[in-house]
Amino acid sequence: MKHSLLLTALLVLFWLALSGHYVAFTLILGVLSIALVMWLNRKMHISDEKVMPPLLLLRLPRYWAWLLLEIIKSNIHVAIKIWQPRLDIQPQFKKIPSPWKRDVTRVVHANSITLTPGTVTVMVDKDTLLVHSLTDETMQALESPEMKEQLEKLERFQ
Amino acid sequence: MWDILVSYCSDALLITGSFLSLTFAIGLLRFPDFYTRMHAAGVSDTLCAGLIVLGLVLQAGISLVTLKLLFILLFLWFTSPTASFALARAAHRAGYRVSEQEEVASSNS
Repeated sequence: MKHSLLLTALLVLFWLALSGHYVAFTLILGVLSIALVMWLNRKMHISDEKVMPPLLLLRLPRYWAWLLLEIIKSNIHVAIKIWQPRLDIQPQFKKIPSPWKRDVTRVVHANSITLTPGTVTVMVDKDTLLVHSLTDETMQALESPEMKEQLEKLERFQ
Repeated sequence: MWDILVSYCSDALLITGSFLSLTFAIGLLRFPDFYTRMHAAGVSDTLCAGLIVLGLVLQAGISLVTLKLLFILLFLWFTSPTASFALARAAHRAGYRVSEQEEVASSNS
């Protein structure tokens, strides 16, 4: 219930920010569309603590800042590989551990890997991810303790 | 003075973004197979889109448009890895393998 209220508040803010027209007719449309979304949410059971813990929202921006740096680094790495006259890549598959208790953390882990150029998550199992990597270097970045540390912090915060 | 500075910054961001977009296209042509080509596409999803949107934000100034542009970026960064994952998973499940060595690596582990 608390979670539904939070989500409704976020949706109202989001709608007001995107609309820009504050007359009765559009406001009524806004209320109706938010009600529709909340109704669908309840039917799909996707609006509860397990799926999106509110505390995670507070921690996520710091995680994003770290991820953004990693993304910039690997973008440069992949761009260099693309422009190199001789193709110097070591494509490879590997299973990497993803021992998270919460599904959200696993989703964040898998999506972060895919978002980083040079690595793509191919399969998600219970506690491993099958990852395809462009070079040895991008694979090593995934197995670094730094990434594990960041995700541990994220999981502890829920 | 300030306007000129902002406009130059915006140009620099847009040009760098476009250059990365070109890089992505060349990577798409040069890389040998499906999975490696996906990595080239990763460049266009992330930094290329980010730089172009930031360049446009500088052009727009502080307004509701800025907020909308940033939301576009946020949703792009949420949805594109999901789409990439769906593609990669579909390819893998359909049994698409690249070379013998990679196939062994994925079935052993």
